[in-house]
Amino acid sequence: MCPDDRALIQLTPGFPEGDARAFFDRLAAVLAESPRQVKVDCSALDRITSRGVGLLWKAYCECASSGTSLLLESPSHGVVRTLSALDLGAFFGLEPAELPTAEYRGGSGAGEYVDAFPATESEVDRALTRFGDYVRGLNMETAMEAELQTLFYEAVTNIRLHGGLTPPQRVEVQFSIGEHDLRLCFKDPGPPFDPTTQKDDYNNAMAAQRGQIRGFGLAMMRRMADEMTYTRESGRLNVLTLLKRRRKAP
Amino acid sequence: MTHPPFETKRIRDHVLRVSVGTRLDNSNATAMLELIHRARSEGVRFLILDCQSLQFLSSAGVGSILGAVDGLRQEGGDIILCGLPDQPRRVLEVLDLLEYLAVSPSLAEAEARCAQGSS
Repeated sequence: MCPDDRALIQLTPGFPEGDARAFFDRLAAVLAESPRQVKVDCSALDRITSRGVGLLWKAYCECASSGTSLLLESPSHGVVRTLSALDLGAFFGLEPAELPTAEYRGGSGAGEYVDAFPATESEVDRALTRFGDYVRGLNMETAMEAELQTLFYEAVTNIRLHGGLTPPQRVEVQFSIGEHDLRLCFKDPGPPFDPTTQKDDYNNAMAAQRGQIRGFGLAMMRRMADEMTYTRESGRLNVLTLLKRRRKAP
Repeated sequence: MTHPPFETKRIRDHVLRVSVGTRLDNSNATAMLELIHRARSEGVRFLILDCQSLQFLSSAGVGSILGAVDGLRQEGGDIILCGLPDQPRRVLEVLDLLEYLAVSPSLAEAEARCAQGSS
């Protein structure tokens, strides 16, 4: 037991894989001594999975039922980001002031994802995997997760195929979570191209009758995004922003 | 990125089942379109696309299906999508294709539809 009636439990790297049972055994032993506060040292974790969040929440509930508070000590940016995005940060003693300003903007619960990569097929694949992992960690509803990944892939693939980028030119993607909406912003140094001015004449039956095999990406983006805006930044960057409004819980 | 070729199984003379794999996107959409055209030239009229493992369908993947479906229908056949997970289902939904394309919840039902269609 730590001084001042506090107990400390350390999480191992990769938690909860292979560590969940040991963690809860240790928690039970600690709670048997009725401490006022349990601190969980997260310094070994650089991120946390949805299962990890679920287990931390279970631990929080077990502590609460014993009249003990559970606080996280030394959480990484990744752990803070995930818990804050789920509005769980305050339960674990994470103050908004602890949010790293480089990765979070817009106040409580708002997070931001930034990535930059060459516009090659393999790099786009890897970037989509990274983005998919990030979005999955946010535990959004399935339809929103699917649409965000699709918007990401279609926008970046459009840049890859038509943007004429050559190494070391890169695509930059920012994803930010606001109180009312989600924003995906794509920047590329290719020739000016404003997709919002392109004609939207998609028709399912007509496309099938024509045997159309291309040109569905923009139609998908228009239908999946609630807003699509384009600007040319400093005369050298295409900036495409796709906005999705957050749906209110029923 | 190169993905493994699609696994196929001839169920009947006119029916081919294709396991789509985990992704149908720019990396393999052309291969899918070629597979469908080749099957059609070999007398296949119904293609059952087993999508149970399909995690990601892009616009190019949609094109590989939509680009071939009308030709098969004109010959009395069809493409039947089977076991669609959430992401591909959502993509087809936003493009108003869930009702336009034939979708079956199971392989058994898809095969039954082919049997009815070819009788």
